[in-house]
Amino acid sequence: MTYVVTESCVKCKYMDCVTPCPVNCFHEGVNMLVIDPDECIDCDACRPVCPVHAIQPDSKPDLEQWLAVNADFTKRWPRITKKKDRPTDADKWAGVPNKFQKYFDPRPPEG
Amino acid sequence: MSASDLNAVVTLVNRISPWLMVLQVVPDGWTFPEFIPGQYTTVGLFGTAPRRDLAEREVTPADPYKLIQRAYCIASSPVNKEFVEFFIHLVPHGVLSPRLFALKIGDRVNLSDRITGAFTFHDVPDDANVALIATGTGLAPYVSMLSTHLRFGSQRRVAVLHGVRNSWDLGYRSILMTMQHLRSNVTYVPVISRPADEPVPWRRAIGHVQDVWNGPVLAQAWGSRPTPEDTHAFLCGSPHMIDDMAALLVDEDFRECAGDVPGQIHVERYWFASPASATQRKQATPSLPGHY
Repeated sequence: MTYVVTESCVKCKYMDCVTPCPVNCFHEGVNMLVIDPDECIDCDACRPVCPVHAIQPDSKPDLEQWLAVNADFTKRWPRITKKKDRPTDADKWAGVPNKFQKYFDPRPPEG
Repeated sequence: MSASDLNAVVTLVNRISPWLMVLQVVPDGWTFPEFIPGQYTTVGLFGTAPRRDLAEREVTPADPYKLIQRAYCIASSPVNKEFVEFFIHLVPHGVLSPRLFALKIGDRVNLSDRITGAFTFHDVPDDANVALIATGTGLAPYVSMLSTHLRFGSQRRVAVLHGVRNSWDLGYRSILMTMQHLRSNVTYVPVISRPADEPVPWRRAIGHVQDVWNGPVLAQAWGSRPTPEDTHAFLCGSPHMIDDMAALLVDEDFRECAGDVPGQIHVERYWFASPASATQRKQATPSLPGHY
């Protein structure tokens, strides 16, 4: 069991989820975060604090794509343990559909 | 302070039954942050910590160097600066709880300083009645709430509905009976599902918390049935109970709190049942005595 970060995070990347996570299982990409499925303890601390409801437990149906994205990019991206400043245009991207398909950036953040 | 430290000391291990314990820990050299009754934190042990004898053998041995952390609701009150308390159920095939059940006084554990959770009285109006409904160790957050919020002379009515299999699984039974005795606005309703196993005849409620909700007990105690206009309901413990109770409450026009949308139903699931087959759901549900 794990939680997964989904579509709404892309380009918003508010990072409110990082603060309450007791096991520091978030990993950071350029425009999205993912959850390490091997570290997540299903405590539900992150899900309610995401302003765009991007996080779901994998007990919800139809999350196979996101399970794969979170597992894959956990391996490629660095762990993030402290919330950083959100992108300046984060609010503009809230609720925009199909962001993953169009804008997802597979790279780790620079620096 | 590194999250990998064993930074707290076990000061009491109260084994209520082979599968239920109250664990008290004290942070060593640091102060546990302020928190709100109903919130949770994590407790952890390394893979080197021994598992209790009666637990099932691990199929895959735990990594000895990895800290195994799990979230537990805090049962003690934030006004208690002397120790932090948890009410824990043994999951025999689990990774952490068998190790917690092997603890002795003086052992060290990891206690997180990150406390979180929205299962609190934050959005409950001061004059609203509250029904605190739990199965098993879902009682833990309510013990924290009651031992904090009852200090002041609120006239709100409070009911605790606690569902377990047998009376020895209740936990905190004496404390809750005392609270009911000391405060006229507190109603404690323990309910057991297996009366035939009891050593003396059980004279209180039989069945499940759902049966108590549907029955006359609360209306008799409060003078009228709870309504969404005057009552908030908290549900904590097994997802099966939560789903059943939420459906009953929604039928009576209660609404579940969801993010920014206010409501009168507050929920804390202790584990999730899989949405797939009924077989998978059963496997997801711990099958020990004491699980409901």
